[in-house]
Amino acid sequence: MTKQLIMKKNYTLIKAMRLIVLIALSAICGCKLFTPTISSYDQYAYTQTTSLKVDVLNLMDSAVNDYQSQQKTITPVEINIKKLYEYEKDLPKNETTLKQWQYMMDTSGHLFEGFLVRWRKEKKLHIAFINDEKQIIGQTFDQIAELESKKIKSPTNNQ
Amino acid sequence: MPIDINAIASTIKTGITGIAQSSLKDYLPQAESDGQNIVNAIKANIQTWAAQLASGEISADDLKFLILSNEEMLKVAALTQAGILQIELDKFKQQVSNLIVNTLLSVVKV
Repeated sequence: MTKQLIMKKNYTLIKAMRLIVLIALSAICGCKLFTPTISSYDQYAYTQTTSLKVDVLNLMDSAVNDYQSQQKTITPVEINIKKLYEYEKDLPKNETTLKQWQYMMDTSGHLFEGFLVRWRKEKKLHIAFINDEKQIIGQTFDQIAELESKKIKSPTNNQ
Repeated sequence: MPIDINAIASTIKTGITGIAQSSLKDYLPQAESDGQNIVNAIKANIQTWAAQLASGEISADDLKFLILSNEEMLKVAALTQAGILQIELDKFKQQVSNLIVNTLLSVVKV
């Protein structure tokens, strides 16, 4: 066998191995095992969460006043939370964050919407209660923001 | 040029062990610290609320609402921890995927 023939055989073998490796790499990249289980970091969601925290805590200070008299201040904050929830709903694999917002928005619960229901029912709330509740709702916002901030920053998303 | 499958497997196995150790090493102390902070906050809250109830600053209904509110906040905090664990697992999988790809590429120098 000539040297040229041996070289040709080796070259064919290398080409075959490269093909195998490429097939293996495609399988790895496309394999479900390696796809993310939770949404990646979203700058808009994070900014809106921290901004809404400030709006909500400010609004809660108004609960020493009659609910009806504050309606104009209450409605925009409620709408902005609903808007963010709708935005979060469209993000893929975002179930954990959505569940967190559901607690915040549950009218039969005891976080933001629950607080509004109680305010409406009682007309005015005690300052000490408002401050205690602000602390809890503030911590809840921090938890939602913490999860968002720890999500993986993908090169394509808005960082 | 024969491919040494055992050597590739061994390289990947060693790499995965290293990635797993470093991933969990970062996550566990942080989760423990977050949990402890929440427990401390609850203790402080309960002391404050009991004093406020005794002094008449808040009513029994207020206290009940606060306790239920706190419970829901804890559920949100539990979701945060579950989410962070998912993120750590995703990072681990991403690193393992990179390791396998790089190991295979280095073998055939594509």
